[in-house]
Amino acid sequence: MGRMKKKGESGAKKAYITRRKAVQKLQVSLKDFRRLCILKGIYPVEPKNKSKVGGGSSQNKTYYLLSDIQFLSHEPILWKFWEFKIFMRKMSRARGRNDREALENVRSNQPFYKLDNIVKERYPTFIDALRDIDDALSMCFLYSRFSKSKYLHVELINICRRLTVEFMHYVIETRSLRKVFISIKGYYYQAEIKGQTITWVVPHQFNLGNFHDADYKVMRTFTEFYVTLLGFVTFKLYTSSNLYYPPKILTIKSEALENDEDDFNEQISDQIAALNQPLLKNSIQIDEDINPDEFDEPDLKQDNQLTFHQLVKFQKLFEGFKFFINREVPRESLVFVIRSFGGLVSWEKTLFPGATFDENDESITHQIVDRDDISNKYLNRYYIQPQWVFDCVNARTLLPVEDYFIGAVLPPHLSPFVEDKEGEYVPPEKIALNEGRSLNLAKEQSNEENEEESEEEESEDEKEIPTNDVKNNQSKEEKEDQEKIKMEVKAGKALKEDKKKIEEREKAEEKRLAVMMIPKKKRRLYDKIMFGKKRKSREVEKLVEKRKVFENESKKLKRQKTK
Amino acid sequence: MAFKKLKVSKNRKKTWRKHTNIDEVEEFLEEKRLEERLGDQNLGNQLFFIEKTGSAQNVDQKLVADNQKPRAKQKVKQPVKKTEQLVENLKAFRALKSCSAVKPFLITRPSAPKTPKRLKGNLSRKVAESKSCLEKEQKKRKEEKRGKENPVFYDMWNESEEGIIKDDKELKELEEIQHLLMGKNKPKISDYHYQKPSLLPAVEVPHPGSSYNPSFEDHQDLLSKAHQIELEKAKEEAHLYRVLDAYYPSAENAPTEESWLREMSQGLIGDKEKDESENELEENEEHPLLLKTSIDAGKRKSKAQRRREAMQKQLEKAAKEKRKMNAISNQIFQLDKIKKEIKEAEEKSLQRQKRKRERIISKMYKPNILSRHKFEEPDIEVSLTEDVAGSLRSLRTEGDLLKDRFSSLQKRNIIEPRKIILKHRKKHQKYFVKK
Repeated sequence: MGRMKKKGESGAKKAYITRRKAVQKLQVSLKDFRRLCILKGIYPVEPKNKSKVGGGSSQNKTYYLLSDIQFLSHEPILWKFWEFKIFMRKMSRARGRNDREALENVRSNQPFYKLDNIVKERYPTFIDALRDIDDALSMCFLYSRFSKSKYLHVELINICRRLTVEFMHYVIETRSLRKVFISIKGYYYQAEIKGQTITWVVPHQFNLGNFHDADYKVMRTFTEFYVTLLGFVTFKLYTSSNLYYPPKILTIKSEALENDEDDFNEQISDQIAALNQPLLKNSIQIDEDINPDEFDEPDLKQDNQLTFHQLVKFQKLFEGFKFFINREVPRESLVFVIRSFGGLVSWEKTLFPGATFDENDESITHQIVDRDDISNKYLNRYYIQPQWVFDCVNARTLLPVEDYFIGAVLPPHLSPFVEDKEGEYVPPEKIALNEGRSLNLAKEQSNEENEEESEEEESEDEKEIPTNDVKNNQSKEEKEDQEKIKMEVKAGKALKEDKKKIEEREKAEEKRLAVMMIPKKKRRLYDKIMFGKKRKSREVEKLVEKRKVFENESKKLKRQKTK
Repeated sequence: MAFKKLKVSKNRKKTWRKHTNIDEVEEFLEEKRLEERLGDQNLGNQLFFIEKTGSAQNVDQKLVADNQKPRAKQKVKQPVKKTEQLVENLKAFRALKSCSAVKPFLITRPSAPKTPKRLKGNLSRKVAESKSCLEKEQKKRKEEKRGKENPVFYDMWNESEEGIIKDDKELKELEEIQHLLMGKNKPKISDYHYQKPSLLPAVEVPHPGSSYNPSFEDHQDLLSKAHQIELEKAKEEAHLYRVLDAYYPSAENAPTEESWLREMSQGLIGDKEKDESENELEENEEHPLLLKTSIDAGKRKSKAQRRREAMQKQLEKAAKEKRKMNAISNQIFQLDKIKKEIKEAEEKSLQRQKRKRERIISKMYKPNILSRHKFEEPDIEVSLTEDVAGSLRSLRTEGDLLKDRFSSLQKRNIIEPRKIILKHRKKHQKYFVKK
């Protein structure tokens, strides 16, 4: 007989550890423990059987895997946390003594840690990192909009701002934006980078006065890590597409600024932040790398809906257009979207640095306006509302501008993220959007067609009726005669079989048989599903009817008005 | 055989004197004293000696020979020796020396290390060195600080540049210390680490009704969803009210001690006679079963009976065994049936596995219970019909993205759900001294 097993010495009890115990084991404060877990990507777990782990009590606690905590205990950053604790103690001591010299001395020796090795450890390959970039992007965009406060340091905000701008530049350069959606929360973007679909949220421009309920300290730790991650990812992205990192643009040093280096640098970073100029490419490498036979294949394979040619066409959606953005329109998002589809953009010089042309430029094709009216209009350009740009991207074609003129009631801004399920009601606006035509135009056209058709039909009927009568009479008689006289064998004609029809018929037959073969047990489920489908189709029919009635009524009203 | 040494505590004077062996010391001192009194017995050897080096002339010759050697050595050695000897021989200094021939019984402690001459000479250089070291350190700090504000990125996933992390000296050192401290090698990273705790997407796709200019159907759909959630909440609240607030009496209607006493003594005072008669009845009927039951000894079995019974049992057992064997031997004719059974069992287990897998996967789409608090789904952001702007300029934003991100992290089991507990500040108490 082996040794008697003691309770709580093996199994679930040993595999898990409570947070309290873990904190004790690592000799850090709870705050630092949280930080460490976030940085290292260690998550709490829910044990399968709580009472076994909790020694009889099934109270909900925060548990970690013991192996995870052991893994954490080997992390060199722990030393830095301990150092930082001492640093804080020294600081408070110097502050308490009002010893400025000591305070400065201590402050200059503030411990500092890098997260490079952790990023590498958590994401061993580049694709792993790219897959997880959604969170990082959203958080960095969010932080780049914050203003400095007690919990938000300027450095972090600045880095976030820099990185987001760099990322947007990359998207513009590679034309990898696919979808945009303006929600009440913020802008949702979707891009295809290296075969990965990446979605992120950007808050609205002026979203002030938010008192957040979230835990700032936790979020800051996340952002700290995400900044490092995003930095390395952008570096890799830049170098893989032969762009300079940090990004470079063509700049001309003005004489006034020649002496002042700092001012000049600031100006350049402003110019880059404007997103309005193409980045300089590492030309030497390009010559070596260009290989006409190689395309961006992963892009093609992943994007099932677009063929290569469609994609190329889509990427050049706004090519050849010149946009001018009025001051009341959110600049950054529009510039980002327009430029990532090849358009040229500018704005008023006083609004933001980096404007390339003025409002009175004759070659401007579209001016984006978000007011009820505008005084000085140019004849050779469209004055449109900003939604046109976003809707065009989502529809993947240039929509007619008529619906989006100044003062027009805009068609609804539909979400590009919705995938239509079979048998669901699709509003005519959506159909129009999918087919890439204006709703109003479509209506008019269909009306005209209907009218024409009906007219034609009437006229044809009128013409045909008399002739038909005569012919019919004649033919009938002839037929009767022929039947009586002729009884002979003719060369047979090959019966044309419609393959599609046969296939369909066979399929229907197969399905019928399959349905018959369903066992009794599953029959009820099948019936339920079918019933649900029928109900759905009935609802769709109802909605279509409603819509028809509504449209007819609105037409009548229009007619009355015109009369 | 070695005798065990007697262990005696020598913490007292008496025991110390008794048990300490100081014979050796005593002997040594006695010898010394004797020497001092009578003079050294071996002194003759020291007083007279055979001259081997020669007379003064020889010394002079030696000096001459020394002069022929390289100069540097002489210069350092000879004058110092001479002066030292001279100083020692001076009468004034001789008087200062101890007159006792017995050397003092002292432990010599190493004195503070003398500063080497080389350092003395190069002090200025040392100072300069340390200064430059300090400057270097400061420069490094500065760079680090700048690195914090403007971090440097490189191609981490490129094999040629991978060394940057590996060559980080400080990191390496820290890691080594850490491993030493923990007494184990660094644990391997298991595949489990690369698995995310949830399959939910990081950025959830928004409902089409939350568009800034939604279509009527989408907007209504979203509104109805939000409405449904509110209804559920109201229902829950009403339930809680019914079960708690309405069920228990309020503070005004709560029973006092008086009312409780009154209620408890209801029917006790006034009906005494009735109670007594009832009590009597109960006593009579106490344990009716116990009284009636009597232990029946039963009839004893005869020996023959027992034997027969045992026989019967044996027979039955044998028959059962036989039947069993028959069934086993007949199984060969039931192969088809058995195969079918096996197949069914296999299918069943497959189904069970599939269901289990599905359960696990579906669990990956839900927030786990990770702390005392349950995860609470945040409210759906809705723009009311009158708030729908229809133009980007007059858009009214809803919701807070930071909170949204935070709850998304909680929903994806990355951090545990928590509730903000504000610090409760005690009111400042004032103390007065009564006069």
